[in-house]
Amino acid sequence: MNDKPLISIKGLYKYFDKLQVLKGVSTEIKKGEKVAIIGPSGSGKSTMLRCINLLENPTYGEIWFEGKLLTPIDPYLHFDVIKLSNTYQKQLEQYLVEHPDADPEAASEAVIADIKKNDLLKKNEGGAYRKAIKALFQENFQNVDISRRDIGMVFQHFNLFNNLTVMQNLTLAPVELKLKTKEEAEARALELLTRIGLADKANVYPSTLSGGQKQRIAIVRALAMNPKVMLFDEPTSALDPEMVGEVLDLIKQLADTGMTMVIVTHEMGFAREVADRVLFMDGGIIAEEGKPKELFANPQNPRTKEFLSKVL
Amino acid sequence: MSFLEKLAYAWELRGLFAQSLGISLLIALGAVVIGFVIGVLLAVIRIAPKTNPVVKVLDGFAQLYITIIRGTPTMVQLLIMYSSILVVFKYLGTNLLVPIIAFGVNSGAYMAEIIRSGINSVDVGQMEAGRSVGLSWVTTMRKIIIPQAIKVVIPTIFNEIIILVKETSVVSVIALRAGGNQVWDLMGLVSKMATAKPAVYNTFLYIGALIYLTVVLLLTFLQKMLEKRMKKNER
Ligand SMILES: Nc1ncnc2c1ncn2[C@@H]1O[C@H](COP(=O)(O)OP(=O)(O)OP(=O)(O)O)[C@@H](O)[C@H]1O
Ligand SMILES: [Mg+2]
Repeated sequence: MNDKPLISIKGLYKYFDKLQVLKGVSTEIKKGEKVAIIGPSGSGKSTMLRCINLLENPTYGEIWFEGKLLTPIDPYLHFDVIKLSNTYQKQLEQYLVEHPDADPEAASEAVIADIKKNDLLKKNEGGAYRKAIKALFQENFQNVDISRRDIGMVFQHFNLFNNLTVMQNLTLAPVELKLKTKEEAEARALELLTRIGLADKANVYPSTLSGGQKQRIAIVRALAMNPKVMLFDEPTSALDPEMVGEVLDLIKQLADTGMTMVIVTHEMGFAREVADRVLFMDGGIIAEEGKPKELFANPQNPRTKEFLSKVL
Repeated sequence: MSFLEKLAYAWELRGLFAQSLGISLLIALGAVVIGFVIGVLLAVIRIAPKTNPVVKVLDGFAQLYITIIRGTPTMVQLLIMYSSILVVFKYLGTNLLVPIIAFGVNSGAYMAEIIRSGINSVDVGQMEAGRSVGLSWVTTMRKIIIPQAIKVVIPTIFNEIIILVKETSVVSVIALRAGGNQVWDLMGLVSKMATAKPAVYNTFLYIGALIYLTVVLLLTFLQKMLEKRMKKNER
């Protein structure tokens, strides 16, 4: 039971127009697991993390959370499904007649983009096909707004709600979503603020806080929803050095409570200490993964070696 | 008639002046409220992600609306509203809703552009944070983005309000009625009195200008107070 993944990422691709940022990322995250994502700047770490709760919409691929599909059940989201269709075969043949010198991979990509753009699957593949998709949809689909309640996210730049006090930052979502009454939410918020030693800041606005305080409050704002997993995107990168410690300490405490966590970080020491598994991303793929001890001490991929030699 | 006599005459008419100022301000205030509501709605429609076909259609309407209103003179809009679109109000005892709606509809287009620029100025991280805790796009807009956007554009909105107050001075191109009787806005009163007694025309024009100036200065003061209070709120 415990081995059932909390999050599954399957065949994730993300393009920003022509720029391919993710090129087929697949991994599973188990309940209680702590996964650190490292890699050079621009390798797609943030994009991958943001695809998990659909702050970015994947171009292709699936995100599963607690056995429910968050990405729409849409054949166009699947490279492989498109490739299996008759439409694809026909279009590809035609494309190759028109462009005899085309590189096979580029041809395949162009054809898939064309099928997606012109909605050709719906037009050509018929009613049975559409029905099957619809049935699948009804069985598995989960509105992402519902799942996001269980997926806490902590941003590099904190993103506290500037127009609300610290207390209101913590209570807005639980009260708006009718998960708690105002009193319950405030009691819980105060408990969380006390835990991080910032109860006296309950009624101030975020602009009066230091970076470290902001980030710790951003963390407890996510915790106020009682999430099942926490996603961190470089939670200490925007902080002055003297404030990094307090934030990392809080994240470590959280790890000790058994929280499932995915952390994009440049803090290698922290990743080594806290993570059960480290993913090294490079050029939009997971180039290497492993237990921190093994990956840091004995990297297999030359790119990993090169990266670690620079940052360690 | 000496200058002092003209002033004394104006003082005699102070009740009428006060009443007509009230009419002018009522029209402006009503229009501001309508304009603000329309402005927020249009801005949100213009800014919404165009993934949903309904939003796309609404956005088309919003663009058309803004183009038409910004592309035609306010007085022409007022006359069109009076003579055709809002003609039903002619048959009621009161037709003050005609200028209120006409100026409100006009102002809505300008407010929409102002508020849209305000929304665009709010950091995208605010929306992302709202969505990440499970709030919908609309709730995040309502609770987080719009309050911050409004704050940014308050000075510009006040400028728009000031322009609107002054623009309502053309309202006397239509006949205003309230409670079955004809009433006059401030500049309407000035012209009416001047027709009856041409000698006071210049003096009354200056008085009208002075009253408008006072109102605008009061609004500017209010604007400063509001900005100060909002700043304090953040500390
Ligand atoms: N919204 C966007 N529009 C266009 N390009 C984007 C967008 N977001 C990210 N990118 C591009 O995608 C690439 C990967 O970005 P991403 O933020 O995922 O990298 P990262 O691994 O997190 O890097 P860093 O360590 O600098 O945070 C970069 O080249 C970036 O410029
Ligand atoms: Mg990043």
